Amino acid sequence: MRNRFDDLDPEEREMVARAGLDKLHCPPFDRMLAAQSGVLEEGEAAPLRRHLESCRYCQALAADFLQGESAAPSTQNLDHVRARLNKGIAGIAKPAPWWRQWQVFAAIAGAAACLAIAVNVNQQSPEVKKSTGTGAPSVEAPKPRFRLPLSAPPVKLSVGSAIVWRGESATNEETYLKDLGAALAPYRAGQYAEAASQLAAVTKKYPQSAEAAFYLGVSLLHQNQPQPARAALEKAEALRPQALRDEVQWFLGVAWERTGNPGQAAAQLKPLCATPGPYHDAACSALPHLR
Amino acid sequence: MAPDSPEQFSSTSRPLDDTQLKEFEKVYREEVDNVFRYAMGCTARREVAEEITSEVFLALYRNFAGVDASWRKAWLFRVAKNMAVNHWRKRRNERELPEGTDIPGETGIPEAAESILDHGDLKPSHRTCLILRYVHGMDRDEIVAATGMSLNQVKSCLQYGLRLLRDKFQIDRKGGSHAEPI
Repeated sequence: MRNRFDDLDPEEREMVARAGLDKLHCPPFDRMLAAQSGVLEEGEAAPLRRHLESCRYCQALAADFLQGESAAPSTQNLDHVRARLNKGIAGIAKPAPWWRQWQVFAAIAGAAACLAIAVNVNQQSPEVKKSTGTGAPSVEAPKPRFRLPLSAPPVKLSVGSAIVWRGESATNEETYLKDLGAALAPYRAGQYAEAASQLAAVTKKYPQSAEAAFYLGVSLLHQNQPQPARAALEKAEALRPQALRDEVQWFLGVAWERTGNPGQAAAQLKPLCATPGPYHDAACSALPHLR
Repeated sequence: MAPDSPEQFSSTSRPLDDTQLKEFEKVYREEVDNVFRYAMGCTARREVAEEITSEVFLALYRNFAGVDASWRKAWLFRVAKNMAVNHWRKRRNERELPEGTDIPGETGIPEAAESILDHGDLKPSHRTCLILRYVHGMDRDEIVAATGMSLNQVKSCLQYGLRLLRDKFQIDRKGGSHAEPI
């Protein structure tokens, strides 16, 4: 192992010795920073942190390193980051190479030609895809994915919304309606980001408000955030708002579809197609596409 | 409810649409420096920080629709932290790190060294170079790699630090002899 003072010139050695720096045995500073950042296992981090607490050199180094320019990215670093990111994104956007498409076509052609062994071909087909799926994400179907239409339902407040605070004073009911009304103003104006922010606060303050949860879910869908939208809509559904029953069901279907679960989306839409209502036609026409 | 980890999202293999891409680029511009600095604070290696930063933003790209805008920043740092944890775990598994290294606790610091460390003329960059060189035993190239400074900057910082030491101990450069410290 290299001696840390091997490559010092005589003058440096002299001064290092006079300052007593040669008597210090600090652990590698990258591990100390890692311990300080909480990315090491506790057994390894604890002695490093103890050293750091007692060593002013290491404290000064950590502070200077983290607060000064030493940890800042250089132009070259940023160029490298951007290049790597672009390469990764290009991998996502890139269509499947011709030979992968050819393999799929060959599998399909084989399946058509050999109906007698159709079962075998069907079992092998996914394996072909799997075995070639190490580079680009997968062999994607060229046709665009079906998407349920996303509208902005008008604001409807159920009778229950006025008595969310059953047993509470009239003042509280007024406060709730005032808060909800204020949060729905940006929703009505089509400002979904602002609406989502305000409605999230209302759902926190009034956890029994199905309306707030529902319009939060719709706002999040318009913000292209289907996961949190689904959570909000499921909350709304659990609160069973009679006036918004069909709306909740439809938009929950949209949220499932947009989170890549067409089967769950279809399950939401089936009751809407089975009974007359504002979403009957839309649900019936969408169901064949949701497989 | 915010998911506990980015793995809870199903990542997409689809490119972002124009609106999403604009938003993604805005987040990238605003946070790339911070994520890099954070990764440096966790690893102290610029090439690793580059890798973590690019992977973090690629993960964001893949999960963009599923990450709530209100906690995107926290999400980025959580992913960066997980990647830094993996980096150290990998180094440990690959036995890059020594087993059972003795780590000194209480360190007695010589008075002379303390006065150098606390010298009012010492800028953070000078102090960083001095400590990396004379306490951690890094050579100049290693300091360049760790700090991102140019070789000339590192040399200049070390020369400046040496001059302070020289002034303190009044060492005659030519003869190597020295007078008593002030």
